[in-house]
Amino acid sequence: MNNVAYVDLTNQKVTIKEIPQKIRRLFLGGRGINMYLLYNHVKKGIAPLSPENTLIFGAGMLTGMHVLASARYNVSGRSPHSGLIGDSNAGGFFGPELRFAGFDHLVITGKAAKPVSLWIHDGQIEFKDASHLSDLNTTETFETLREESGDPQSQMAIIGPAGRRQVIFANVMNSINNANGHTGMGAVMGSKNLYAIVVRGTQTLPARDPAALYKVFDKQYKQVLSRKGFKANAFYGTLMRMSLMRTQMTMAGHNYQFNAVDLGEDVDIENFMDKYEYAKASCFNCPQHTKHIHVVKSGPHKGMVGGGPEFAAAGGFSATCGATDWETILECWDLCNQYGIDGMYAANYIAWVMELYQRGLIDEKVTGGLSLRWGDHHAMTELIHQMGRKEGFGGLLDEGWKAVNTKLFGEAAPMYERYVPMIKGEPMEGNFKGMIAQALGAATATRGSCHLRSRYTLEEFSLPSKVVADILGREVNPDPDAYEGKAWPVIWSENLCAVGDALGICRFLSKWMTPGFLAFDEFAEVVNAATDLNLTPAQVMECGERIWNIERMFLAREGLGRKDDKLADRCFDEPWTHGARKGQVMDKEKFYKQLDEYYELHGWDQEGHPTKETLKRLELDKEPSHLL
Amino acid sequence: MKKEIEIRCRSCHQFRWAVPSMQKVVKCPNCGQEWKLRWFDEETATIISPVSWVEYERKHW
Ligand SMILES: [Zn+2]
Repeated sequence: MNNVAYVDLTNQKVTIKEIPQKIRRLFLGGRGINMYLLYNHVKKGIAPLSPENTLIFGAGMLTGMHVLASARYNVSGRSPHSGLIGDSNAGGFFGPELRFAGFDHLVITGKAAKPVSLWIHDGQIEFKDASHLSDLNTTETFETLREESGDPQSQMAIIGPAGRRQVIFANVMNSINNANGHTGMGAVMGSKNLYAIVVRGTQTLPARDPAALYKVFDKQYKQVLSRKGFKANAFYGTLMRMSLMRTQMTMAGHNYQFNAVDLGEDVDIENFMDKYEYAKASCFNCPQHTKHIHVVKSGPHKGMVGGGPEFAAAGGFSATCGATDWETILECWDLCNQYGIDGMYAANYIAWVMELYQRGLIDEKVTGGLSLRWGDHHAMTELIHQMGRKEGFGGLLDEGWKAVNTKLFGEAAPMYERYVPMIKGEPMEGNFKGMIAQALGAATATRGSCHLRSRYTLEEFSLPSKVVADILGREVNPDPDAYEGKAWPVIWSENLCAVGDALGICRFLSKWMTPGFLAFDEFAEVVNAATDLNLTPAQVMECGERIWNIERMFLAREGLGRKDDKLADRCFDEPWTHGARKGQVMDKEKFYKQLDEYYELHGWDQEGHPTKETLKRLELDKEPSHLL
Repeated sequence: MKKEIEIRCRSCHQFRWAVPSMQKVVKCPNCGQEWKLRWFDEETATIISPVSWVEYERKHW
């Protein structure tokens, strides 16, 4: 129970340790313990794609148990994309199966001499040759491994062609529609010559009080299913945002130049539902099944069946890159999944070079003959092929925006950084200029710009002040344009996301998604029925704060601080182009003044580093403590 | 008598008004925007899109 396996790929050796109770109490599991391991094992300055980097898999503390949406696990390490915190959470069925097979966390070090896969079964870990996977796309890899396992219940986390080629925004994937995207953990896996992890287990995950756990499940199930948000998510999934953000004019149009672009009628989400969706899919123990399964009915990929798309990339390929038809979006999405590339990163990179092309800063001589016109089907799909194969101009982008910007513009490169909307080296994910709390969350998110780390989604709901105060436990400034009183919603959201990831419960069933869903009260109920930790809701929330702080300690150790908690310049000096806010800009001075309030509430100094008192209060003052 | 369900206009954001259950196209009495609705059941609806995206976007251009 609750074991960590240390896998040394260089020497093909495995050591197993039990997680101390103290670490579970402080960090719970999943992302929490992953971040503890990251801080303790990944030393300052080591190269992300070297054998010195550590790749950590971690299932949530409640993953696989009789708990709502308990599918989640994290993959962490130093990111080859940002150079900083690499961490990505995914659903599907891999996380639960890893625990059924006897392990909560895998700490993978070194580098195998030849391609290998790990086969994990009921407490046993075996190394197998994986050379035969070298030329397969992700679908073929899944099919090959499932057949070899001889067991349809086996689950696998794999890399595709992009991961094997160490494309720095490659995913780890556990099915065609479940990926650990963002921060390039697939490239780290590829750098270790680890092509796949296959898991199958029959071990049980005992609960402290099974009857109480059933009762809590029943109550939370009814709570979630009664909400309008549930019904909308269960039908449209994240594509709901395609419609929402388009009507609110908060799309990242043409690489963030515009808050709306003319997309025509085709990319309406009802069109997707009518023409392309043929089924829904869910992750382990989730009644919401937000995932679409689609079929492409025409074009060169006619007949292609894929999972998704999700909004992050669908919005990216449409508004951000300019595609005005579903077939381009679906083909781009499916290609990314087949190569094992993060679709949102692909969209951001494509949009960036399209803007450079629009401005005449690059031409066909640079792009290898590609005309990078907004929404051009051939240009977009060809760039993704090149990214996945590491060939041509698209392959150049695999080196990352900073290196490419320098290659293109030499000494003048800093001048052109404004066209690369990145935060802490990670792509911006939405035009949140009008959402002050969401923008603050993006500026301070620990893995770089991220909607999954601390987005205060409730900011979009125009909820009455009393409802907000009841949910957040404190008053929140109701003025949407105010720059004061927005720090607490961000911190509350950080804690909510961190705890959900540590428990293994999907964000989509939490108040991150919609007001009536789960938060700290419900998390405490379920923790106490399932485990012997006996935590109050406030203590559960504090676990989230602790996780956030150890991430911040990692960043501080790398030399980051206040200067890095910032948004891309275009958020401040390029006004809204459309809609009710046309002509407005965000106030840079007032925006950054918010950091004072945010740091103070966190118990950090003016540089944004946790103070000694804060570290002591959170029992982080002895880190790295090397208990694991 | 047909039930009425309250919805919130996406254009004027805070404005809520009641619409007849299962009616597929509605017009906001405050701003005049016409919206397509998706009904998940007789009591639950959400705005999906303007009747015409092209017209909606032209209005705000
Ligand atoms: Zn209206």
